[in-house]
Amino acid sequence: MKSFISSKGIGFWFAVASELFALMGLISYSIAGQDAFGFMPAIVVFLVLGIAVGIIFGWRNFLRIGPMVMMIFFGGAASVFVYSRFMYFSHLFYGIASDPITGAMVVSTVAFIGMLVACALSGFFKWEKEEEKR
Amino acid sequence: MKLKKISRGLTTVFIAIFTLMLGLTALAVESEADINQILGTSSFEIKYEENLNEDTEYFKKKTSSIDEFMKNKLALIEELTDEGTVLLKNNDTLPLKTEKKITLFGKTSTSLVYGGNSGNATIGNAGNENVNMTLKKGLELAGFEINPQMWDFYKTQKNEPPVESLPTDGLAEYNEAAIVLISRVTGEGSDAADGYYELTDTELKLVKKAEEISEKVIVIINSPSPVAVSEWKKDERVDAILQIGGAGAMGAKSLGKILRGTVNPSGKLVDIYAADSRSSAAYQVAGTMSYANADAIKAAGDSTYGIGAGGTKYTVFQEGIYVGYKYYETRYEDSVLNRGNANGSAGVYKSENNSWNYADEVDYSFGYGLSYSAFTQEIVECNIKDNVVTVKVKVTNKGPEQGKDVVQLYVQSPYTEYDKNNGVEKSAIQLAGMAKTDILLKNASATVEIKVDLYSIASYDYKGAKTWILDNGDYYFAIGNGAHDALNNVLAAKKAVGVDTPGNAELAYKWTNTEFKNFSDYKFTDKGFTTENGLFHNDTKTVNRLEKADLNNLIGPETTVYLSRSDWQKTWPAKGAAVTATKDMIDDIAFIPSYEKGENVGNKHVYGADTGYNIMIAKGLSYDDEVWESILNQMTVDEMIATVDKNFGAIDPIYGLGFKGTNDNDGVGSGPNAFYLNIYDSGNTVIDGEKKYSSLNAKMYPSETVVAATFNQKKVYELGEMQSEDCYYVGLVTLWGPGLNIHRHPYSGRNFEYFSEDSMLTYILGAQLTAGLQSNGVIASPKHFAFNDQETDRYGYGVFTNEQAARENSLRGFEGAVAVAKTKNIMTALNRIGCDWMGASVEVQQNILRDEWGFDGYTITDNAAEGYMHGYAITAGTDKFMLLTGAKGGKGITKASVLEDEKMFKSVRQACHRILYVYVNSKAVNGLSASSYIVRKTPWWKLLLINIDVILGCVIALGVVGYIAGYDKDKKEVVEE
Repeated sequence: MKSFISSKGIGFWFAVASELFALMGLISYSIAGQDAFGFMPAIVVFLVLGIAVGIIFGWRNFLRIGPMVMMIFFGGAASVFVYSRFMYFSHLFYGIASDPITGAMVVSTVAFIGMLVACALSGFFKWEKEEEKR
Repeated sequence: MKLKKISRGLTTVFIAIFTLMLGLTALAVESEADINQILGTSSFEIKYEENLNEDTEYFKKKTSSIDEFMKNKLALIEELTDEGTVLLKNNDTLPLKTEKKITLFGKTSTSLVYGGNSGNATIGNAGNENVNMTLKKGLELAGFEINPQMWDFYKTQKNEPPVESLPTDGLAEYNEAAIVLISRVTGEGSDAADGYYELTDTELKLVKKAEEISEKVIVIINSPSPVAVSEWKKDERVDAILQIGGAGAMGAKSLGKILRGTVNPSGKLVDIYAADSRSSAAYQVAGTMSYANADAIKAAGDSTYGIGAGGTKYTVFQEGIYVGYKYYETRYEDSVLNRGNANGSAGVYKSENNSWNYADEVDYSFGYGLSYSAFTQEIVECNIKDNVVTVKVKVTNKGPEQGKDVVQLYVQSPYTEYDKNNGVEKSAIQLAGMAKTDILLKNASATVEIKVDLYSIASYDYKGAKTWILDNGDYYFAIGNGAHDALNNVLAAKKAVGVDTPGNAELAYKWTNTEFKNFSDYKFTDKGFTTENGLFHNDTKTVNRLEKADLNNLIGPETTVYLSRSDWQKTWPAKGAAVTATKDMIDDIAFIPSYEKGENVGNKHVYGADTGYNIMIAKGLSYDDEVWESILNQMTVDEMIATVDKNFGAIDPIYGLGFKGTNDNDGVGSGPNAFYLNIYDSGNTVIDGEKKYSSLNAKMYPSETVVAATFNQKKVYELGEMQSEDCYYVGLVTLWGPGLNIHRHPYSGRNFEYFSEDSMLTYILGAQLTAGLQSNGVIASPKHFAFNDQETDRYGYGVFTNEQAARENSLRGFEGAVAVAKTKNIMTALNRIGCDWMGASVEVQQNILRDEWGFDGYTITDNAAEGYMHGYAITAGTDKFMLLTGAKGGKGITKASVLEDEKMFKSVRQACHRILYVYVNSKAVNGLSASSYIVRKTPWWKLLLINIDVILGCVIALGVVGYIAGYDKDKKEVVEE
């Protein structure tokens, strides 16, 4: 385990951070979205798939394309999240949104932003220290 | 190696951008019609098969340029706020003929309320002082100089600061008058908090501060609903009080003119000013209650679509017919005549000795308003012939200032033994009609004529005759400066003693009806109230339709005790124990699971026929013309569904019929919710500082309460015409307005969008505005039909009421717009009547609206955001669903569901028929002809999005391929090591 951890590069830890942000987003959106107009199950599906893919690539980074594959799902989740927020705000404009911007929704927003940024950064750095020797 | 990392990182970033762009593109494509409306783009093009020589502009703008139009519009807005300002108190201080240096107190002075605070009814161009005139500018135009220190101080404040923090510089200099502004503002989705319309300590201190610095103190109330101003009414140091409401773009200018005296105030109150804002009968039962078996009701709902956020809640209109002034004035008469325990303790808020007293409970009556002049009115003729009352009133200006005056005609109907035995309630006084003079110079006179159908003063007898009746007995037609004044005139005619102010018996006309009349099949005549259109009721008899809305019928007698003047004490409204919904009630609330499908469509009906009909062949033909069969046969199921169950404010083109679709949007309150089209930009506008019309939103009008306070039918009709003209310059066909719900109590969140607490004022002005709107090819859409008289839990709460209250209050305003002004569209409400959602209430949407009132247009839901506003409702009265992107309403109308359910198929087809019938006779077909056809085109924004997506996709593909190719090389290098 020690050697596993010590063998990981900065990119890997950014990927872990993006996984944690995704987990945070998953939990907070599941709470906030329950009361929110425009709860979208697709967001949860994308996040779960993204986290699963992250774990697989974290274990073994096939072709070293982990960040790109993760981003497909995290980006998908963020895209639907933006879509749902648009619906929320358009409904808010018409005075019919059933939820205020709750703390959980703020956490969700922060988590989605953190997830995208960390995942993007993980692409710019090595996941395996071994890579540096190559 | 470094390049590879950058390549991988950038590709990852591009994937993020790409996925977000895909989402944005999907959103945009789904909202194509709405985006086209916002950007002024189009997804179709009109082509002609042959050279077109005919004029296809069937409806034309009335103005020759947008500059001309805008000048006219701003002038009308100014006239409305000139006439919609109400002077409540004046100790000979106003007008300020010579005063110059004044100080404005109150954060409102720099943050005037121009409209509502949410949704489409907010003022447009918020923060743009070129359009929405500031109070400073308005007063400076009238020749006042404003204390700059105080103005600058308030400009820096976000909220009302403590009085102690106000700057003292300049107070000694700018002390010729002190003007205190207070405001209230409400909006969509919620009602005002309890106590919101009471004065705050800071406001009371502000007035005291004003009294310290000036001999002349004037209070301006900038509010959609009455504020309890007893303190200031009694305070002799407060010299004048003015009510201005949501001011619109020009309200500040009007206020300046009125303060200076170049305009003589002529507005009248549209709501009674109670001494305590919570004292109305309706407010005792405002808000909602939960059913005792709310959990069972929720469980009965469809698991996917539910019953609406407010589906387990309900409210009971226990006040019966006694909304607003009808309560206070009726109780007043009964207290004078010592009847019905009117002097009891129930409903006492301000009266002494726990004994109800009108003078203590009311500050200013409905219809009240002062002038700088002194007008006298006399009834010169009153006759009743052919069921029409004709009253002629001579108005003379005997005061020092020129100005307009309003003649308000009220009626008192007899409260008979029959009424008492059958539960028919009678307001002691109710508005029957009104007229406004033109400007009368000093000593000038004018005679106005008011006509009223007897039908309009009939009462709805839901227990006995089960229709409209006119009791035999003594009726009094009276005029006065407000309902209370008129009632005192009636009491004078009745020689009553103990009144608070002696009336004038000469101003009341007594008519004895010797024949009890049943008005179930009453027909209007053109001798009564009409608009320019002047259309009349259908042949269908009026009978009870709303028995399922009364808990006394659903659960058992005495479940609801309605307020009755037979005993004010015993029947005073109070929220009782929660009721338990019966099985039938639950089934109605959760109507989706119990929907029964029809048979399979199979070959029994034609759709998608390839017959080549053009929609224009039906132009000018009646709804029943046989050509409609062929036209509807030609529509595909997809086209039918897109017509009734897609888009928020638009109808898609129907290419097969050559119909180009429509653009529709909100138009209640401040006006059309749209920007002027950029084709009208020419480098400048008639508004100083504004270069482009396309930067301006058309929402510039004052709130409906201000419009109503003019009591000027002609101006309200002109407002309709002006908003119709607006629609040409912003590209709309249907304008969702006017708002015709009533102010059930002051705390209703959308009162600013509705005319008044009085249903007759709403009836008259709603008809005029609707008729004006529809006078030139634009379609009006009165809303929210019906009973949406509060905002709390509006997504699905149930309204329980007796049919007299329903007919005489909540429904009456809509009746004018439909039966008289012949509106072609109506927007249904989010709430339920009884247990039925309004959009699925056959009794209201079919029996009353269409059968009785003769509606031949189409209905559209309010924002179908929630699933309980289900597609099945199209079989029960809804014609079109209003759907924001991602909305949960309108579900269930799919190609499969339509084809496997004949009932659904017929309903969708019928809705298409109604919609197309309306639009083929509107400005929606301008530009179309029998030889025209519609072809698709891709708007620029869609092309742009698609191109960006494709480019991003290519970049990512290159990035991925390049990276993987690099990976292989890298791997090879490792092996070689």
